[in-house]
This record gives sequence, structure tokens and C-alpha cells, in this order.
Amino acid sequence: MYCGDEEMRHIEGILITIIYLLFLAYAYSSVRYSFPNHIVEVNRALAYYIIIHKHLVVEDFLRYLKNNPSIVFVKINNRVVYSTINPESYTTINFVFLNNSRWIEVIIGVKC
Amino acid sequence: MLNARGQILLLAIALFTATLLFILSSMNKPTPKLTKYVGELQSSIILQISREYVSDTSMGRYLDLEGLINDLYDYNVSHGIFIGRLSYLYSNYTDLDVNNGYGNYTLTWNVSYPYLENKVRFSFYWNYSFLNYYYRNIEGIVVKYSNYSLYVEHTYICPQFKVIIHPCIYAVEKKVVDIKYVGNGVWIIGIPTNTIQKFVDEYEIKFKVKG
Repeated sequence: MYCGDEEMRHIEGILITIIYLLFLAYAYSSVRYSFPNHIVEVNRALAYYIIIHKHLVVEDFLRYLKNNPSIVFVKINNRVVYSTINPESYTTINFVFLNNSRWIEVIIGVKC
Repeated sequence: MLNARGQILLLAIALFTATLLFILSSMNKPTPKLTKYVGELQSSIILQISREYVSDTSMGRYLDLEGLINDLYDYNVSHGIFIGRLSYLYSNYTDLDVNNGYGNYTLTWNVSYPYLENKVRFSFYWNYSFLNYYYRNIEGIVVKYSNYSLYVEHTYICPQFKVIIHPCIYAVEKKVVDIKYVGNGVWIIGIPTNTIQKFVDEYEIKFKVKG
């Protein structure tokens, strides 16, 4: 009888550990591999711009980006071309655009 | 099993840890972090260089695709653009006949990430079919023209989206060719009979129609 109780406790412990590990894996993957909606939206907007345009014209590009309030910062070829007055904590999305056989390096700052 | 006091202690430790973490996170200075999101943006970069490659090839220019791929790998390191390992296959086919014809230029990519394989494809496609004949007076000379219905499209395919664009086109010999847009990628073009006319779209991709 005593041995049976001991065995049950072991099984209970193992089950609790498995559930705990599953929860940890879920929590880690949701933090590591999920992204806020506005980050995904900015990615899609940039992808659409790249597909539609053959050339990147800075003024036109900025006009397009300013429609999105979560964009706080734009750097093109290492030159800051747009920044909100007091950018809060932001994450960057980096990409390159092939313009007349030359790469343009673009860094977009998006609010966290 | 823990007794009641043990459980309360555990709860207190959890609350204290949560509070401590919250205070530490608010003290943390904001620093820009690079988003490790891999998706539409990477596909569109690949699709853009595909279109450039098709454009240059159709124009008879040389674009060093291998060089561009190596540039992208370098940007992976310097800028963190998260482009996977790339391999590609280019195919083109044209069948131009007097009554109808079609052609396509397609660049298909295999993009490999450690745990993911993506297929990305850019395709330029056109077809035309004969409608009727008409005559046009050019500087006193009557020329027989063939009227065609012409369809032109770009297709951009990747796991995240499929986009079809109907580009604006123009004839290389603008004074010779009659051209009118109908809608949904369909154009009515008139070209002198027994000639081959070249057209270019707004992304500088050249294609031909045989009259």
C-alpha cells in the first residue's frame, strides 16, 4: 500500500514536470517567434512598396512611410532622413533595394 | 505536497520576482533591436532582383545574379536582412505566330533557412491573338495593319502572397504602332502586317509581337 502511494507521487511529480516544461516551451516560443501586429504590417507595407516600385525615390518613399504612425525613424545609406522628435524605444527592420544596379541600404525604426 | 505556509511562501516569491522583473524592465534603457521577422520583406527583395534580372536579360544587358546573391549574403552579416541560402532557375519561352502567340520569362528561387524551405517565383507573361485587319494612311502611303488583343502580366509568388500586376506598356516604335488599354491587363494593339514589333513595360521588360 505504502509502495503504491510512493509510486503515485513519482508519477504525479513526473506529470507536473512535463506540464511545466510544456508551459516553458510554449512561453519561450510565443516570446521568441511571435511578433506584434504593427511589425508584421510594416513588413508587408515595405514588401508591397518594393514590388510596386522599380526605383526608390526618397521623398516618395517617406511620404508612403509617414502614413504609418508606428514608424519613428528612417535611415537610407547611413543617412537619417526621417525621425520623430523624440523616438521611443524602437526595433529596426533592415532591407536593401536594388536601384539602377546599385544597392540602397534602408533601416526602418518601428515602435516596440 | 507543500503545506499551506509553503504555498503562501511560493506565491510571495512569485509576486516578488514579478515585481522585481517589472522594475528592472522599466529601468532598462531603450536600445534599437533588430527584428528577426522573416517573411514578406525577404521574399520581396528576391522578387525585386528577379524582375531586374528579367528586365536586363530581355533588354540584352548582363546582370550578374551571382554577384547580387553574394551581396545579399554580405548584407545578412552587416545589416541582418535574413535572406536564406539561394538557388535559382531561369527559364524563358516564346512562341510568336501571326495569328496568336505567347511568351514568358520566369525566375524561380529556392530559399533555404535552417528549418524552412521557401519557393519564390517571378514570372512575366504575355499572349496575343489576332482580331482583324485595318488600313492606316501614313504620310500618303496606305499600310495594312493587323489588330491584336494583347494580355500582359507580372506574377509574384511566395509563401506569404501572390501578387499579379498588369504593367503599363509602350511600343518601341511609337509612331508606327497603335495602342490602347482596355483594362485588366488587356491591350488592343495595331501593328503593320508582316512585321515584328517590340514593346517595353514600365519595369523595362522587353517583349515582341509578330504581325
